[in-house]
This record gives sequence, C-alpha cells and structure tokens, in this order.
Amino acid sequence: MATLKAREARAGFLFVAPAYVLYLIFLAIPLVASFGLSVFEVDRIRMDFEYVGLENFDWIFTDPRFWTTFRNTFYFISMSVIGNVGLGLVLAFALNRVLPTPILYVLRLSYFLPVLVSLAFVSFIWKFLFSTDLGAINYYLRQVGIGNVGWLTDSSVAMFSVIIIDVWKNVGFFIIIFLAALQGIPRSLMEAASIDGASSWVVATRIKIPYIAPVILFCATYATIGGLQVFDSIRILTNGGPGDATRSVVMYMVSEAFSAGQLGTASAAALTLLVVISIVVAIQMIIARWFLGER
Amino acid sequence: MSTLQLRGIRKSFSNLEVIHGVDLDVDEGEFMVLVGPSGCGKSTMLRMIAGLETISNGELLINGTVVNDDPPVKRGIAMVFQNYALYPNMTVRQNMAFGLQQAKVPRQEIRRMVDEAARTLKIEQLLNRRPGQLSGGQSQRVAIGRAIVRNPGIFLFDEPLSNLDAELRVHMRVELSRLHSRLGKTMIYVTHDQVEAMTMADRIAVIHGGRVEQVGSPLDLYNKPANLFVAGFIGSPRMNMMAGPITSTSDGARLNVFSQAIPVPRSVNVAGLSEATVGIRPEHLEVVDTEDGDVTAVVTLSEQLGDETLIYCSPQDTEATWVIKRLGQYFIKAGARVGIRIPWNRAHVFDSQSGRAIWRAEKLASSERD
Repeated sequence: MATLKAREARAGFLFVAPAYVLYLIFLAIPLVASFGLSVFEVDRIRMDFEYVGLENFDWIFTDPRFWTTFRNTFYFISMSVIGNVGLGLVLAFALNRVLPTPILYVLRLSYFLPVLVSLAFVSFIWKFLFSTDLGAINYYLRQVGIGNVGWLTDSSVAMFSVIIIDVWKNVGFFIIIFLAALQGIPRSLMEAASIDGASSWVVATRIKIPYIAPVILFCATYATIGGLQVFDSIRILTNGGPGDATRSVVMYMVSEAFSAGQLGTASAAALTLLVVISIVVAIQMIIARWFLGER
Repeated sequence: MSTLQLRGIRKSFSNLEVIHGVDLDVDEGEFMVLVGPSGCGKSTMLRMIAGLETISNGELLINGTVVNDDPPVKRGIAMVFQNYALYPNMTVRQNMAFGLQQAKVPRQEIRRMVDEAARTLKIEQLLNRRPGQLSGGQSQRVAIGRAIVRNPGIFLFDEPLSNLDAELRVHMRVELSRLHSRLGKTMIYVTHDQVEAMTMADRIAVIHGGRVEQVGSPLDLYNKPANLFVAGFIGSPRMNMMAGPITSTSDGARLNVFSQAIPVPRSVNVAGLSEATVGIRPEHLEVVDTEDGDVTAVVTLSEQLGDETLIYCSPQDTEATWVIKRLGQYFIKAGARVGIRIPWNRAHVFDSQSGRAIWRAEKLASSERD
C-alpha cells in the first residue's frame, strides 16, 4: 500500500494535471519549438528544415525594421506604463476618499467599464473617432478652430493615438488594483500621521505610496510585459503604419512568420523578445528590492 | 503638563448614540484609566480626545480651552495605538522623527530629541531598524518613543499592551508606570483589563454602555463600588452575587435566595428594598462545615495557584457559581459538600432594580483611610 506521502503526491499531480496539459500544449511546446525553429530555415511548402545556426539571429539583428519595431515597442511601453500606472495611481488617490456612495460607484464603474469591453471592438470605435475627415475628434477640433490632426495617419502622432487607446482601455484595471491597495493601508497609520501633523501631500508621498510600493511595482511590471506584447490594437488601428511608425516587435514577428513565411527569423525575434522581457523584469525586480528594502 | 475636561460629551454614528453625555475631569499629571468591556465606548472617547473622531455634542477642554474643532496636531497630545501604527517603510529613527519634521523642528534638534527619547526607553540599538525587524515589545517601546519625543501635554494610550504576551505585558505595565512617574505627564489609558487599570491608575473611570459608571481611585472602586456593574467588573475573580426578595419578619429582614430565607443582621440597612443583591468578594467568603454555614454548596472545581486556591462551587445545588479565594494551598475535592458563611461585615448590598449600592459594611467603607 502506498504511503500517505505518495498518495498525497499522486492526488496533487492529478489536480494540477489538467492545467499542466494546457500549459504544455499552448506554452511549453511552442516555446521549445521556437528554440528549435530559431536555428533552422524552414520551407513550409516542402516541410524542409535546413540547419542554419545563428543566421536567423544575424538576419534580424541586421534588419533595420527589427530595431525600428523595438524602438516603437519601447516608446509604447514607456508611455503606456506612465499613462496606466501614473494616471491609474492619481485617479485611485482621487477615488479613495469619502464621496457619496452612488457617485463613487458610478465613477469606479465608468473607469472600469472599458476593461470589460473587447479590445477589437474598442479599437474599431476609436478608429472611427480618430478618422481624419469623418472622425468625431477632428470634427470638434475643427469647431474650435484647430485643423484636422492625422491621428492615425501622421507618423509622428499615430503611436501617441495608440497609447491613448491603451491607457483609456486599461487604466481602470490599474485603478481598481491601486484602490484595493490604498484601502488596505491600516487606518491607524493615517491616524498616527494626522496626530503627527502630516499634510495630505506628505501622507501620500511618505506613507501611502511607500506602503503600496510593492503593488505599484507589480503593476509597472505587468504593464511592461503587456506593452512588450502589444499587437491587436495596433493591428486593427494602423496595421503598423503609417510606414512602420506603429509597428511593434510582435507585429514584426507575425509578419515574418505568416507574410514572409520565415518561421526561423520569426522564432529568433520571439526568443530575442523573451530575453528582453526577462531582462526588463529582472531589472524591475532588482529596483524593487533596492527600493523596498527590509519590511 | 495639561488638564483635560469632558463636559457632556456625546457621540452618535448616524442615529445611534454611543456616548451619552460624559463628564470627566483629568488633573495635571494624573494617570487616568478608562476601563470597560468591549464595545462600551472607551476607545471612542479616547479617539474624540485625540481628535480622530468628531464630537457630536458637548465640550472638550484642554488646559481650559475648548478644542472640539482643533485638529489632532493642535491639541498637544500624542497617542500610542494598540497595533503600534509604526510607519513600515521608515526606520525607528525616522518614525520617531516624523512628527518633529512636520513641526519643522531643526534637524540637529530632532536628532538630539530622538536620541534622548531612545535613551529613556533603552532603544538606542534599534534606531536603524525598520518596524518589520522588531519584536512586539520593541515595537511598543518605539511607539511610546514616538509619543515621548513630541513632548506632548497629554499621552493617550489605546490598549497598548493587549498584543503582548502575558509576561511582557506585566513588564511593560511596570515600565509605563515608571515612565509616568519620571515624566509626570497627564496620561489617559484605555484598557478592558481591570488588572491593568488597578495596577497603573491614579484614578479609574469605569465605562459601560457609553456612560461613566464611576470614577475613583483603584481601591475606592474595589471597596466602594457605586453599582452592580462596577462591583462585578472590578476585582478578579469577580464579586459573588446573590439576588432575591427581601421580606420583613418580627426577627428582622430576610433575604430569600437559594430556596431559603437568610437572616439579614439588623446592622445591614435594607429598609425600603423589595429586591436586593448582596455581593461578597471571593476573599471574604468563608468555607466551613455544612452545619455551620449560612448556605451549603457543592464544590465544582478547585484551582491551585500555589500562593492561593480558588474554589468554585454551586450554592444550594443551583446553577450559580461562586468563587472563594483562600490564601495558601487548600485541598478540596470536586463534589465535596461544604458550608459557606456569609460575612455580613464584608458585604455590599445593592438595589436589584436600579443596581445602585445601598449599603456596605463600615469596615469596607472606611478601608481606604486605613
């Protein structure tokens, strides 16, 4: 008869098995396959695999479009993290106060509602709003004497438009997380600060923000990883254009894999992105540890 | 040092009044303990004094000035919280300095004041640690240090020892009393633990249901409880009670309790009472032979504490439990039938209806002068 420990282990394995099978099919196997594909040149028609070593990496590292998409992606990340986390924090502070309950619920719901709507749908709506000639935004800009802005057609503005949509769509999620964190601060800390005579600004900057710093850092990491993977909104809004002004790394990967049919270079780009995400997250963790110190 | 007066203080949450017109005077340098069961309103009163809770009605005076609308920082108070409320991201030194920084005290002066407070509390070696690295006792000292360093007129303590283990609690109790003697500041201390109240207070205010039941020195409350609540709350184990109708006979009054009529000595004034409750402290009840007792009782449990013995018994086979305290080690088995003599010269008599104290033995009433 199996020991208690063995029986418990077997039960444990059985419980995690369904999730693990899904993980294997959709994450682990593609990940390993990417590693493999990155060192082959694949002819998809003849299913011919030719070992090319690191040539695929050479190809993408010398491709200026790859670096353009990387630059675009990091611009998107920096702005979307500032927008989502920064604005989310400011709005969470604004909502974390004594307001009449109905007003509080309406405000929270209105900020969170975009999170619930599908990104594809949101992107189509915004595409209409941003339309140069027929868009609602340019209509009102014309009414107040400002001319048309090429929200999605001007290469210097298009990425900014994509970021506006991203922040509009996701800031509610970060507000909810920050609100929960702010409401988790012990009341006695606020009371001690009020007895110490701390102003609202001092309470916010020296007590509340340091207290919820782990949550802020988590959100920054989460937003960064999300930003590195940005694809669908750009695909619908601009399809990477005008030119390559809004093309992200993931779009580059998709176009390499499915337009150019270069599975090897796409896999090399995917692995490069994985390494970059890991480095960025590691840096954030190091900063977090240094910033938070001993609690 | 500061004085504090509460004049008809009331507090309501929505339509629910929880503090019902409290009057209380705290003298300069006095250690006043607000004691009462959970939910009696003692912490709410302390928070109103601190300015953390608004006052619905009445006046709060510090040094003779009404401060109802003053923010906490303007009241010259410092507070020590039950859970310490230390800022977790700051070191001990930063925690202690925080209030002084807000008051724009020069940096050198802050350093000197923090060092001095740390010396007083013997926490110099902790100054560079963060709260997460401190034990409960150390955190409590730091919280007290943060209060001391602000040099307040009044210290407020909200159940500061309840998160500590029993041994540390006794130790901190002694330290707080010493600190009070050394600083000579007015201190208001909230606790539900009557032992803390008895051992630390100059005076105790017993709070019950949002009202002050009695204010007095610890022994005053112990010896001369004004009503049934104070009599039951102050003293551990609590006072034994027997309640029943009073009947008058040609031989004098009798207390009808436990299915028998116990003669009440003529010296005990129960005139005009229809229902009386007689209370006797555990240390005053005497265990005697069954035939010599005023009532008989069955022993249900005896607790040997080494220096004293607590005997739990049910008088006259009822469900009531009396506790008898005997000094030294006294062995008696559960199930034993004993007699209990009621020492009327140690008794307290209360009106059962109003709960007010009607009579107490002269010996008790005069004991405070002894």
